[in-house]
Order: sequence, then structure tokens, then C-alpha cells
Amino acid sequence: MKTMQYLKNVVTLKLNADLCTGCGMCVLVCPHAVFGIANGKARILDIDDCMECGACSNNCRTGAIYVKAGVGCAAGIINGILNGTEPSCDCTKGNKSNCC
Amino acid sequence: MKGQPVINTADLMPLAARIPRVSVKLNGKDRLGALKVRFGIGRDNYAVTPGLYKVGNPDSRSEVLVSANYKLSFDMLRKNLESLDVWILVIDTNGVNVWCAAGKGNFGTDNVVKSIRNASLEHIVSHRSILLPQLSASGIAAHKVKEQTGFRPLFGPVQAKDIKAFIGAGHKATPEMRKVSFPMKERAKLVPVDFMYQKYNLLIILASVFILSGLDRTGFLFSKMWGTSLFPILNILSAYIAGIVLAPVFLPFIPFRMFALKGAFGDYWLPFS
Repeated sequence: MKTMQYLKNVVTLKLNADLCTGCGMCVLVCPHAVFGIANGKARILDIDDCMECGACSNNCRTGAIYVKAGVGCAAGIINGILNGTEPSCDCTKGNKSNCC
Repeated sequence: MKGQPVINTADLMPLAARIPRVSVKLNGKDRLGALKVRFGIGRDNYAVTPGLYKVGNPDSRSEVLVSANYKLSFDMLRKNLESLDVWILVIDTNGVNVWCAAGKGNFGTDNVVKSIRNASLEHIVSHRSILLPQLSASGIAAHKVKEQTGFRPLFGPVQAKDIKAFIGAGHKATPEMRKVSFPMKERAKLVPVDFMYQKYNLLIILASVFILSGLDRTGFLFSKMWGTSLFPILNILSAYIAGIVLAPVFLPFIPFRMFALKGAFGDYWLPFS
């Protein structure tokens, strides 16, 4: 997945191998193939491939994975900068105009 | 007839018989609708009514596929289900696609749990699993859905076109099916909607430039407007087109890694080259 890399050493993804049971859910859900399994434990293959979507930590039963996930939306990040808040694209019913 | 309870005959039919069936073929109206939302027309209100739908003739053993209620997502799913007999459970994501809704938690655990309950899914199918698009995983914690509903979510492939192969292989996805890609063809599809996004601002700027060009020390000269405004108008237009068409389509080929430099190169150099 080298083609999906952008900046180096900025990813917040952390894997706590002590808590990992090797269930393989992170391998399954990651859309950038960041994880692999070796010796019954998950392993980060190349951390710079991560885009911080949060699918792995969300689906890790034992809480072995941490990542600070965002809304995953450029418009949301711009809104956040303009309003001085956390990134939000506000795609809710009453507020369609701000939606990405 | 006073005091007589009114019985809707539809209520007497088995639950499954009342569920609407959708076609796997997109018609002219679907295609026109897709074209319109690609150009930003009615894009904020292109939604499907949430709930359960049939594709073909599903029974209690058939697969349940979960989708967002953005019609473009729903159409993409059903057109890839030809010759299958399955259920589609459309959840209410406010008319937003799977990936964006999952990122905000809208295509999320609570919403899926609620939809399973609202659809009385346990009475429709005898098995206890549902197929979710892989890109909903950032919003859905599979183990929590299982705990709360008894239904075990299985994450299918990223793209709807791989669903048949996924089901055919006994719920197995190849590594390729699990990865996202964003090739030039897909990036190009985003051009029209971005082009339309700021159309009014663009028109206001172009109109202002045109009108201000008439200003002269002696007053306002209509004859001067065209000559003076032509170059700035062309310039602004080409910058707009460079930013919205050339930059996304040729993104990997524009030099510099930093986004700001990429933008500067893309928007200021490409129009003149």
C-alpha cells in the first residue's frame, strides 16, 4: 500500500501486544492493509500506511489498539479550522448545507 | 361501522410478504438521478426510505446485506446483486454514503442495532448473521452489535462489485477486496460536483470583475468593459478549473509532497503550461 502513504511518522496508531489475542479482526477491517498476524499476535506492517479511520480500534474487543480517528473529511477539517473547533462536517439532518 | 376495529388487510399477510422488492436493474430515472447528484443537483436529498427490502425471492435462510440510505450507495449495491436472492437492510444515515456516515458514527453500532430491531429481523431470517460493507467498520463495532442483537456482523468487501464473489467463496474476501483504491477514473467522477459547488461565488467574482472593468477616471465606460476584463476573467476561470479538474485528476503526478506546494503548482503553473 505504499501508494497510499503521504506524511511519515505522524500516525497516532498504537498496538498493545500484551492485550492482543490475535483474533485478526484488525487485519480484516483495515482498508489499507496495515496489520498482519505473526505468532498468534497482530503486528503493524507499515505504520505510515495508516489513515486513522479507526476501524481497527473500534473492532478490537480487548482494547489493544489505540488510534485518534477523525471524521475523515477534508471539508470537516476546513470547517474545524474556520470555526476553531474539532473537525466536523456536520452531515446532520437540520444542517445539510455544511455537509461534505 | 362505529366501534368496529378497522383491519388493514396488509397486516394479515406474513411479515416477509409485506416487504417491498427492488430490481437489480437500474432504469432511466435511476441513471438520471445519479447524473444529477454527480452535478450537485438535489444531492442533499437523494435518500431511500430506511427499512428492509427484497432482491429476488429471499427466504429465511437468505443473506442480509446492510446499506446506507444514500440512493447512490443503494443503487450501487442492488445493481451488483443480479441473480441473487437476498435481503437489503437500509439504515438511516441521513442520506449520506457508507464511508462518510461511518466516519461520523452515523452508520454506527447504535443505528444498526436500532434498524435490526425495527425490521424485526429475527422473525424474517432464521440465521443470525448480517453482511456489512467493510468501510462501515470505522463506525460499527461488530462485537457490540452481536452482544446487543444476537446478529453477528460479517464485514464484506470494500466494493459492492465484489459481493457476489465474497458470498460465493463462503464469506471470504481476497486481500485485494479489502483494500481501498482511488484511481483516476474515480477521482474524475468528483469533478462535476466540485465544479458546481462554488458556482455562485465564481459567477459573483466574474461579474464583479466585469463591472469594475468599466470604471475609468472620466466615469464609467461600457466600451472598456470587455477589453479590460477579458484577461482577468480568463485567468480566474482557468485557476478555478485547475483547482477543481486538473488537481484532483492528476494529483499523484503533480510535483511536491506538501499539499500547499502541490496546490500552488497545480493551480498557478498548470493553467499557463
